Amino acid sequence: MSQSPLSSQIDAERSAILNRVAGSVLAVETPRARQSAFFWRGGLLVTAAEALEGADSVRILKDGSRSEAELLACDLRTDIAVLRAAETLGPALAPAATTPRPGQLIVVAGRARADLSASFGSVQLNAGPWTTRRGATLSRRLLLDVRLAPGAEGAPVLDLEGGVLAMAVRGPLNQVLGIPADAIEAAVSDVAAHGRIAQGYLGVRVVPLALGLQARQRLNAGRAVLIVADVAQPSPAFDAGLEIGDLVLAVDGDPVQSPDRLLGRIQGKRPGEPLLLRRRRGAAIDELTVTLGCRS
Amino acid sequence: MVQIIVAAYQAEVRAALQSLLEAEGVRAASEIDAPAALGRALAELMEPLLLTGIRWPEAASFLEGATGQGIPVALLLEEGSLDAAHPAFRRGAAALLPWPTASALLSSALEAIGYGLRVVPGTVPGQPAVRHAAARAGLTPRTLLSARERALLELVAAGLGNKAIARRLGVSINTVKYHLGSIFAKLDVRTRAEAVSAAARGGELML
Repeated sequence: MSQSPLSSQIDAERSAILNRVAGSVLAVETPRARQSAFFWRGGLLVTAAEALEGADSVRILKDGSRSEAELLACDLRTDIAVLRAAETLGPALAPAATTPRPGQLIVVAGRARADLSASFGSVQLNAGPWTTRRGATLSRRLLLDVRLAPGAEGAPVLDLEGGVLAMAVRGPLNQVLGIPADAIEAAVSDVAAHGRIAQGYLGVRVVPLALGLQARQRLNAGRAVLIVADVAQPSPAFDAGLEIGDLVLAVDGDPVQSPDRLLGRIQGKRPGEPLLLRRRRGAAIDELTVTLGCRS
Repeated sequence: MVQIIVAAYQAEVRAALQSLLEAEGVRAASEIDAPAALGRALAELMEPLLLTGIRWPEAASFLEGATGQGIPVALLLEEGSLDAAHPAFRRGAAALLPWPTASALLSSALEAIGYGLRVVPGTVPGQPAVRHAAARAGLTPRTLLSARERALLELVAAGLGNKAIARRLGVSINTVKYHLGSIFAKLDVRTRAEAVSAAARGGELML
């Protein structure tokens, strides 16, 4: 059966994209998982963090041989892991020139073993800023209309020019999510500069205050209250004048239910970003802006 | 303005509690001799606080009656297991003080309760210290993790891998794994992310 010119053209384009990126995509394996990774820049590899948590060693599979890679950063909040291979085994992929748009055609190029897998699909949803389940704020919530091949977690999501739009990961309810390219770039540049992914840091220990209904009502209009149990010195919290015993009523205008929610708020921001705290000390309530530092 | 209900089965206990309040110039709004009388006393009060004692578990029924309705309770107890783990706290007591106690201490404790703080007895034997929950160490009376484990967890929270943590702390990677295992067991978690958020919840992690 002969192909029509149009379909053979599409076919040729698909092959061309895959050929272009094939050398940049490889398989990584830990004792628990095998998934895809790709070269970003400076010899650094990017993959999904979830399955790599706590792994001491990660091996790269390339052309039938295995080599060790060091896990430099494993950020579960954004699901981005950054690895360094002993040698650069392939060319770096570049971010896409344009931001993803709904309906845009994409290809996820994965590699779980020797062979490349390709899943074609489209961008389903590209919504505004999104806070992940683990508290990181991403520039976009990217839902992909594509079926991932086995082991395609951590694979690049490419536009038809071969530019990286995102990294593919599995989300809840069989969704396929894209971790946007700007988050990958931020993570990789942190690792290149500081050897790890920078996280916001306030410098306090807090505990929830066990309150009766009335006290809660009086102290914070019925919302939960956290009390500062310790302040690190030096720290952004110390510089801003937070003290042991201060009550935290709200963060960036929202009440915080528990210390781990506050952690999420802080870690969702990058060092240098401001955090607005509403504080109660005795009967006085004030607002203070703390410029977050870097957890080190 | 907080209105105090003095609650005890025996008249002499109520009288003792009353005189303690009077020493600070405070008058109780009402007095009850059984938990069943609580409802009637509450009907007349805007911002009640229950003061009871001095024997456990007799005081427990007053305590439960009041906490069940969201009323803060200050409890004065005779010697015994006066510590922060006392069952009274599990049942929602806002303050636990030794009996006998100085009237000034009781008054400070009532003020602290008014701010929504909890008052736990000092843990040094023979020292009838009252610690406001807001006061320094009183906030985390029991820490699960050792100082070393905390230091390690701070690095986990910073996203460092085991190798990097070992380098930073100047220990072997096996030591790191050993401590991590102990942290996971203590916090009853299975992953690093869970450990970080569990430690944050417990007030054991610098945020």
